[in-house]
Amino acid sequence: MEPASAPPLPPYADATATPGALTVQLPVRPDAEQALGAYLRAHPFPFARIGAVHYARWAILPRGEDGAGYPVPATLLLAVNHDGATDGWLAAAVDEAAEALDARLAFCEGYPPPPERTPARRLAYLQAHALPHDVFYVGAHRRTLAQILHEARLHAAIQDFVDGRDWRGTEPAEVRRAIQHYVFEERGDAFAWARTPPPPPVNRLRCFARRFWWVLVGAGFALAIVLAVLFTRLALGWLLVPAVIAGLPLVAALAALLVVRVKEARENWAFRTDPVLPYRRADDYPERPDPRQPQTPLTHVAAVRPGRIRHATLRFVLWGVEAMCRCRYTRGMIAGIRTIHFARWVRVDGGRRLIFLSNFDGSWINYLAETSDDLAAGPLTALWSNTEGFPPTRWLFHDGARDVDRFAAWTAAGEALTQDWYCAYPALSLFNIDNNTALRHGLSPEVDLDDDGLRLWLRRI
Amino acid sequence: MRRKPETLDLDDIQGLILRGYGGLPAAHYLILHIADPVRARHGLRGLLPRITDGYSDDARRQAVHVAFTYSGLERLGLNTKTLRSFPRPFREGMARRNLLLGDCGASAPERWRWGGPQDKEVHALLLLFAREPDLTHPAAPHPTDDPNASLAELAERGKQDLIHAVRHRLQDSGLEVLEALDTRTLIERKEHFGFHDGIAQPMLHARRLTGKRHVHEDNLVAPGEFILGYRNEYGRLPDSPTVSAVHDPLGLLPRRSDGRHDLGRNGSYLVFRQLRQDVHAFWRFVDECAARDGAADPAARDRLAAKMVGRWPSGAPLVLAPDADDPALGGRDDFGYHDADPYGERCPIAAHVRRTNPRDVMQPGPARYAVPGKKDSTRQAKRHRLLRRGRAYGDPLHPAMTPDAFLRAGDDGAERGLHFLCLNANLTRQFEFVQHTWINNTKFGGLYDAADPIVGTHDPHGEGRLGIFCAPDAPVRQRLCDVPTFVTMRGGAYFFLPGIRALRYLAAGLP
Repeated sequence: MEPASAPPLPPYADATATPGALTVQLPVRPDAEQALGAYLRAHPFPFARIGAVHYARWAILPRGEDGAGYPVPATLLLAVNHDGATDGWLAAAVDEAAEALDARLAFCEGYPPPPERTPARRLAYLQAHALPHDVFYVGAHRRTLAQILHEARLHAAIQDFVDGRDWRGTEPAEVRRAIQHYVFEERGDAFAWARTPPPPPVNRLRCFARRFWWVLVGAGFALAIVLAVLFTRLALGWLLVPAVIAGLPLVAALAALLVVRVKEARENWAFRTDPVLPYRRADDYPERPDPRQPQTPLTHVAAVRPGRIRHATLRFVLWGVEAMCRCRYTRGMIAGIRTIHFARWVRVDGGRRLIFLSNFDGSWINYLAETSDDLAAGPLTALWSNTEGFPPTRWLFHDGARDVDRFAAWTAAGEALTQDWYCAYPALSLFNIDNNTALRHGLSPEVDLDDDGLRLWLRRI
Repeated sequence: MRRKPETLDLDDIQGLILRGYGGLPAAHYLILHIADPVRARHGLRGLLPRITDGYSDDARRQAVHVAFTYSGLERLGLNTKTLRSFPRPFREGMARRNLLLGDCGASAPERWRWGGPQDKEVHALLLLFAREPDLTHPAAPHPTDDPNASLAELAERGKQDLIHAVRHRLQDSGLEVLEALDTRTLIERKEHFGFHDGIAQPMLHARRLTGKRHVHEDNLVAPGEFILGYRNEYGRLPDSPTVSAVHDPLGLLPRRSDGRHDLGRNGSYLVFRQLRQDVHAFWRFVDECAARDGAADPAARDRLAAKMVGRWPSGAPLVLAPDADDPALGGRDDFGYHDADPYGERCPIAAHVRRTNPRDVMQPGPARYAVPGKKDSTRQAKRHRLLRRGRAYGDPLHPAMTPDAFLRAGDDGAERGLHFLCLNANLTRQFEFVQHTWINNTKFGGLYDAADPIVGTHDPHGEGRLGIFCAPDAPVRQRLCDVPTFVTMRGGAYFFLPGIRALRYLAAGLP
């Protein structure tokens, strides 16, 4: 049986939209950096009280330099992954945790003095410093916090029920019926929500069509002309139109890639002749979170390389990865990595630095092995090669993160401490969350399982 | 794409990297403290001719190897910049990496017999291997059918001679022996729990290695995964410690392209862990779990034990022999999980051998959707392999080494276990990764809360938790929720096993 002291859960709810990703970057008073860091560590923010928060963090982005060598001051970062709209969450935070907010924002520049702090001004201050995210990835796609927690409880109940009996010699279908009986009859209404199967995952094709309708329109138009030339008496000259439609983007892309390649070659040369960069070591990192905890946050800061070419390339790659996250990486995996719950890339400091925030299963020790694997290295290289110090690359996608020692050194150099981190379900890996949802799917009386499906379902317990 | 095999500098590599010394059944390890660096260097110079390299014919009769901890290298007088060029896990040492390695609770460094923070600093390790002096056939495998005792006796004579000779050389050399660790060869190459050990070994993808035989492609690993100075599985040269040219005026070390001299070339990192095994507790636990209605069920007991280990006592893998032990399959290593057993119904995902080498399945699931797939998994697994060189110590609980005998023998409380030794080129990516992400990770391969049932840490935060083990079965899995800890740490350290030239450099005592 589950412990009687388990905290009350919010009522079950299906997801209607992608969870919100709030990013707020606040300027820290020049003298307050140390004190703020100590304060954040000592006083966890009451994230659990405000709305439905999956993950959240306060972290200080340390002072540094941008790609051109100009100084960037330290800033305070608030990043939250929550259900619902971002504005709504901020308003709730201002209502529920005014004191805790004040205590942190008092270290920041431009925050009004105590007598002038009203809910409206707090909200306005936070909203004024909120940033849009460039890429936002969700591992447990289309699932609310309530769904994740309820399904975990369901899984635990089924585990305990199955443990209590000797099932040897029982037919699989019989086992399922017994579990269904236990969950839906013996446990009363506790799991009544599980009678309906979970909402199906996003249709990726439809998602792609909605986002890239103009590509489809263009392709359809070109195809129509080709067919018209082939089967009607349209002049051959019309074939120029599809040739231009298909060819122009291709030529533009090739030209852009060539420009990037030239840029790369020059930067790689600089990298080789720089006495420090190639020999910076992977282990010059500050302290890292306890390796025993099952999940870990990463806050990573990198200076964007100077020049229009790099800024434009970065924006284009970010746009591409964001589109992938919306349309392709919707099954709990991003570029072959199956351990990331939430991740985002945000350009901060007026676009001069790029931050990467992620909440992942395990520890930095497996994280580096996963990100430097060939499956993940391509997209990550395309993205991060636009920032300073990244290992040499070729044609945007090649080398880079595959140089595992240098990539580790580069990652370590950009790591920032995450002073205050909150996680709503530290005991659930992304794999567990997915498994719980699948378990619930097969449990629902509305779902018919054939023999193979039944065996597969029983394996999920 | 498979690269060409590399050519190794066999005469500069300590032979332990290339050989497991199966023909030298007697081994003796000396954990040393350097009391006087000047005399220690002198002693090291005297020892140099006896150090076994990869060529040496001597290795058929005996072998001597030496390795140093970070503080040992400090003590020998390496300069700060050189010391800084060693990787962080090695600089910190095993005891300070305890949270990462799961050495907590009963295995915490404070409770070690040696190598812990309260103990005298460990500086060096001397490994001695010997065989029985009378057998002249060098290539003959050691006669396993001989009774254990007489073989051990024979081997003992060879070892005693060697220990005597080495100790003679070390006399007045400023080296203090902290621990003299003896080893034991158990019958049929078993470890103390009674299972055939040391089967899955990666094979170096290199030319001119002794004992050529057909090796499965999945077992061929780039030499740079184990020896510094060669390409690793990423196609890169491993990170290696260096000395500035000024500090090597005699040019004892090979030069690198950047002008520094390579102290690491042909060296490796040696992980030493003394693991105590509670044999009786293990068999009593599986016996109780397998009992039906209070009556013991030996077949179910052996099956459960095999499920926890992942192989039968004979070494037969569960994938090939799912229902009963088959000694004919003992020692088989040419199998994968992807096609035969993607969900762990034969060999559970949580089983010890599957976690420590997941082969071609990193994430279980339907073969069609599994990511990474078979090829990607194999490639990833090869980046976390270890060359194991461990040996058992202490008398077996019962000489027959069968479950029944162990249970009958009762708990004698004696100290026995495994001197776990392994070699790798990158401590973090190899040994520490396996220990952290595969053995102690309760979420391994989609599991919920199960660490390795044999060697895992079940209670990293000291909350008195017991382990969980889950074996898929029909119709539903069998779950054990009260797995105690059978293996505890008794001492350990990270050592650097230098190449022969690097040893010469260290012995020369240059600044």
